Amino acid sequence: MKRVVLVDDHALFRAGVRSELEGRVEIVGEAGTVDEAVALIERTKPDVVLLDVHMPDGGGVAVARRWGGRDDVRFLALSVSDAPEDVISVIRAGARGYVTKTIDAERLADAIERVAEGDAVFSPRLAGFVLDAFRGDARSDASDVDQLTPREQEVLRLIARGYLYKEVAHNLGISAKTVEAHVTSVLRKLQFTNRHELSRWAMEQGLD
Amino acid sequence: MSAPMATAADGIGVLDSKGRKLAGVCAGIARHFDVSAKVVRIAFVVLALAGGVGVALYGLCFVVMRSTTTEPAIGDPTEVLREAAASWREGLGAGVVAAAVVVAAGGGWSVLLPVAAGAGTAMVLWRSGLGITHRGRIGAALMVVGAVLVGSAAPRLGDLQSFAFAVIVLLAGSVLLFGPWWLGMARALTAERTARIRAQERAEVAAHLHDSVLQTLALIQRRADDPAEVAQLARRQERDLRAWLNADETAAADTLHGALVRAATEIEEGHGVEVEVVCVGDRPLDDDTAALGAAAREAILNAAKFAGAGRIDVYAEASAERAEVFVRDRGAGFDPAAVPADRRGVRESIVGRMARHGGRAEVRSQPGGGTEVELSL
Repeated sequence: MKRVVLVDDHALFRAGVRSELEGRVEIVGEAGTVDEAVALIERTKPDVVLLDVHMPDGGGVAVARRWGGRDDVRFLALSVSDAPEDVISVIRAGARGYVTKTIDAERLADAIERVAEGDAVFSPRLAGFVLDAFRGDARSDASDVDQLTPREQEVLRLIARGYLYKEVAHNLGISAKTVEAHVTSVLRKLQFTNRHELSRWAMEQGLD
Repeated sequence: MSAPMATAADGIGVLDSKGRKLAGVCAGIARHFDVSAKVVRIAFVVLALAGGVGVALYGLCFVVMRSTTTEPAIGDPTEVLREAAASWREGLGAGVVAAAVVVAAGGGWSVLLPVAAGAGTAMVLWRSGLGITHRGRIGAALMVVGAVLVGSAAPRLGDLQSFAFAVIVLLAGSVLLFGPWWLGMARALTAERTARIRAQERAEVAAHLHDSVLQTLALIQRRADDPAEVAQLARRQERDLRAWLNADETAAADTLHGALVRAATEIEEGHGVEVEVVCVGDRPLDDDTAALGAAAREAILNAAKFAGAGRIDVYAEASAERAEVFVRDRGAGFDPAAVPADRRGVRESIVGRMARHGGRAEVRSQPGGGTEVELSL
């Protein structure tokens, strides 16, 4: 079972997630503040950290940035917000996925599994954001990370339509591993692109 | 003038260090009231020559005006007056001493009064805190010099002129001293109005929360034994609150996205399923897109009624040239070939409707494998 740390300033919500994930993953600790979270991650070295985006002292963005991608600890954002700037800022801080808190237990467990394996997790909504943000022509001096390949667009479109990875693979006649590679590549572009729509959000969050 | 124009509304004037000849009083006043600095200077010179009132007034202005815009103006004159009143003894003492000096020097009554008053006022100003600054000391000294000049000039002038000078000094001094206080009052009124508007906004927020969130919470408590109903209430409230917080007008918008969100909300409430709408791009509603929206609504409704799935994904992509909607569920599925002819749902309201508007509808489904309806224009 994957070892998971819960970071959320609402104890009630942590308790809810803990009971939902019982038997699917091993919860090795909970933290309610950024400092607590960093110390806990340092101590337990979990596979995946479930990260609340909004906390009083900087939230998931602060935790992910302070951790800085050491030791193969992966971050999955779990938030009530589905505002684009929140999604983008936490992804840019290093989270490998973003799901909303209304997700059911099975999908959440699946997302944790996937993130732990080093893949990216895109909800249909996140896929929609990304397609929207990368729409239109990039500037002429744009580099590769500023645009999506046609294949990546196809993959994202299917995810936005509610397809699971294996269904995407089946539909496009490619392997599930290839789908994962495309999604990871999109995640990387999301983190490093200078596309105006995305860098603006990141700048507002003081991330650039 | 390089500094930005100030207006009288900024309260008391600011010494103009850039356009100054002496301390910047004249240039500051000129800028403050938006008149020529030359005129102000001539006025001061005339006042100074005509009995020394100008010197005293210059000192007063120098004391009262701010050196920079950031320095707070003397706020409440009652405060200054209270401080001044607290040192009336020193003022009186200084006045008496000055009077004694005048008498010793052989001066008459006409000299004695202004000099004593000037010395007394200067002492009071000094004691009221102005004396601690370099500026305050110079200003107070100028006022004493002015008072002495007035005193020595008074015998040579008629009573009328003396009276006129005193009035001018008094008026100018009052305007400079009490002007900012008066403006402060006006500003306090504005602040009060802002506070009232804020309170109104707060009341509106409270009213909204009362009508929506508190109502829902009350309902949830009463329906606690019906998990499906509770989940549905919570989800509806969530959607509502989210739209309100983000000032999200999508649901009210006359666009394809808006139509899909409205259909999703309605069907969610009616059938207790979760409908997730993701839209990339958008397009205003016309005959064709309205038909697309209606067909999509029908597809969502079918999924909600027959699929038995807890969640329906709706994905739309729209641009000026094309529009597509996908409605997907992971429910029971069916064999499209085996649909009886009397099931009007799919055939008429989806396929037929799309065809009439130059579009296309495709239904992909298999028993146990869920259903996806693809609509395109």
